[in-house]
Amino acid sequence: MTDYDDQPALDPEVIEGLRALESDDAPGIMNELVNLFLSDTPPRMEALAAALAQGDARGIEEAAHSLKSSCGNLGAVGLSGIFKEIEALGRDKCLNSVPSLVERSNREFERVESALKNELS
Amino acid sequence: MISKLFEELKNTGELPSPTGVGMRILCLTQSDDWEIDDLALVIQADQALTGRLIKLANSASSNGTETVTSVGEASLRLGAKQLSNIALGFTLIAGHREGACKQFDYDEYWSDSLARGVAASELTKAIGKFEPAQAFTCGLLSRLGELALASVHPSDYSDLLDDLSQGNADGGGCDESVLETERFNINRHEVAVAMLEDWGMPTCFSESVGSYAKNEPVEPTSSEETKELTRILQLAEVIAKFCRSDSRDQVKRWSEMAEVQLRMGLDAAEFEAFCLKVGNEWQDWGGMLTIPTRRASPLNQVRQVAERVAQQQRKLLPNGPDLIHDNDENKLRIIAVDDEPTSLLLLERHLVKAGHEVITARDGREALALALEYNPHIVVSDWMMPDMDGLELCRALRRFRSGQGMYFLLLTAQGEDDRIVEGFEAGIDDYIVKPFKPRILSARVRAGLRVVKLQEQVERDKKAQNEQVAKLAVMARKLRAAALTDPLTNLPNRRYAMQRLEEDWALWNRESKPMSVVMMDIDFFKRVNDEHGHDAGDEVLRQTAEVMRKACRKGDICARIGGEEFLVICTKTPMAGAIQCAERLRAAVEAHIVKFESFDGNVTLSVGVSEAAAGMSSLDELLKAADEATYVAKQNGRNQVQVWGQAGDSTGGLSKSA
Repeated sequence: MTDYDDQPALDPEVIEGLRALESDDAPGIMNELVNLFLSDTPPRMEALAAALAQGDARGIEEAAHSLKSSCGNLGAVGLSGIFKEIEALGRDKCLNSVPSLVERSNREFERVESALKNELS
Repeated sequence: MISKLFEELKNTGELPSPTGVGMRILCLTQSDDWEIDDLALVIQADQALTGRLIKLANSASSNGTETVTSVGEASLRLGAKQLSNIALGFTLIAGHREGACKQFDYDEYWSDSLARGVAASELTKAIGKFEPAQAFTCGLLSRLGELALASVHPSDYSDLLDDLSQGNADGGGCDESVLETERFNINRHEVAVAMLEDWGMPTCFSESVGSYAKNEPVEPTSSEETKELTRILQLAEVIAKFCRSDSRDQVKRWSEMAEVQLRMGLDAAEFEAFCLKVGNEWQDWGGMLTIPTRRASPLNQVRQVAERVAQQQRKLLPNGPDLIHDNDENKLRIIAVDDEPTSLLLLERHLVKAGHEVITARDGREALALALEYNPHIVVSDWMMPDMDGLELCRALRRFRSGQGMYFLLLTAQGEDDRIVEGFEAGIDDYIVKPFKPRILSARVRAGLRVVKLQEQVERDKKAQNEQVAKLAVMARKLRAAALTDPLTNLPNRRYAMQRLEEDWALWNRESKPMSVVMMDIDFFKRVNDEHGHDAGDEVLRQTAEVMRKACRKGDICARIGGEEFLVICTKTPMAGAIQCAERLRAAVEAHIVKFESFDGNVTLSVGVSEAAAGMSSLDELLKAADEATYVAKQNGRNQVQVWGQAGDSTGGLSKSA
């Protein structure tokens, strides 16, 4: 298992790419995206936890799949990687190590959240 | 499988079946030895049925044949097998004007079926090689399966119809026959095919009823009749729907009708006349069978409104569904689909930034509805989505004609791309792995643009080609007609007359059907030309031709066969009838005054009549006989009718009449 804590929470290259999307026609895309992500992600992570509590491997896989995407979009490479692992475990119906990964995702989300808030203008 | 299910349906005893007379006809015609006379006897017992059959025999005949007035004549005209098929169809209506299935609209069903029958019959008269009366019956019975399911399962089918109207209100638009199979293991088309076979209807009936509703080309192995009849049923369905719509819906349906016109190879005026004929016949039959119909609105008005609406829509949508304009040729209409909101937002922004018009959808179902409504050039969709995923969306789109042309770009997550073959099997055009680089997305969309444009070019070419083919078909038909018409008088010309004579001569030879001809020559016509000029001569020919045309009976053929020579072919008419005809023509022409420039007066005819008789070895002899009689009429002082073959005058074979 990789240790994510020594990497930055956000990939600067991705953030730069997102900033490049801002234009005169579409200002504030960065704010819009960050706010969307911050409001959308916690309920999805709760859904993941609920699926885990019920031992619902399919539910775990689906929740982790879309979290993986959204984190990737915002450059949260580490968090995205955790969800990718969870997705794979859900697919293989091998749930033993999922609880510790979920816990780690909670910690990592806090890091990502504060880093993203710094990006808000 | 189907046959077993059909037996089960049949054993319920609830399948629609012809009643009374119809049942007796069915029993009679399924036995081995029966004659036309037996059939006529059974039918004559039912007066209403007799009237309907005679009407059909007359309306299904082409112009130029005599009016049928009895069941016996109708059976000669149509053939016994056809007559019994039609009779079955009619008795089916009589017994099933209402029923137990609550949601089944019996009035609507018969109104539509009747419109299909009438349209099919008129179509074959206009373009087909098929028997109009056969086509009528087949059109009338083409929706038989629905009536059968409603009769056997009145309450279940009522529920199904309820679900359907609910589903359509929700914009689901599901296929009825799929639901039928789900519920009854058999659908309307399969039931109809089995019933038609069970009743001993012609194979081409059951085959075409089974295949017209599938929007696919007819099996190449099926018979010419089946192919022809399937085409007819498809066109008849469109026409029937159009006839039954109010004027607002007719405007919406215009494009379908325009396609029918194209496939029939008619020009606007001809098509208008054709539709009017169908509408009138439909109302006529509806009145007779007490089935509701609708008055036809003038077709040219519908056409004008529809064309105006189409023009306005093109203005509203400069990037209309089928055209990308050159001024913003890289702008595409794209539907973006993703269930994950940040991905959807990013995708939308990237595409908008690249200059496209983007519509977003959060799942496959929403995307499907939007795609069918907005007809995008490209669909960019995520793969994994709850309910309807990307591949299901793609498969669903490819089932629609409009969806087949859309460029489908699938978004896949890392690790999914080794399953991408599945995607291509579902019909996708290309894929991008997420998270994507904006440059890659743009490049892939540009590749799609190239395909979309090529496809549009092909569509445009095809459309132009179709128009060309339709124009050629119209022209070919006009040329064919022109080749058989005398341009001055608009009467059939010598070539047409000779063809008809050959046919009638063969009929006389084979079946001893009598035939007579009347040969006519305008007296002193040369003087008209010499003294009043050729324009006056032409006018005399034109007006004389018109007088003759009006004086002929419906079945007679009047042709101009030479300068001032005319011929009337009296089909299936013995000498006595032909003499009457000849005298009527002679008197009418004598009574008509032509005024043109210096010409003011009448002309007269020398007329010779002859009848095909034993001992004549060729058609030429018949014509020569008429010619000789005409010569005698001239010799005897002109303006008279002479008959060949009657004893009692100096030439041995001629006598004067009138």
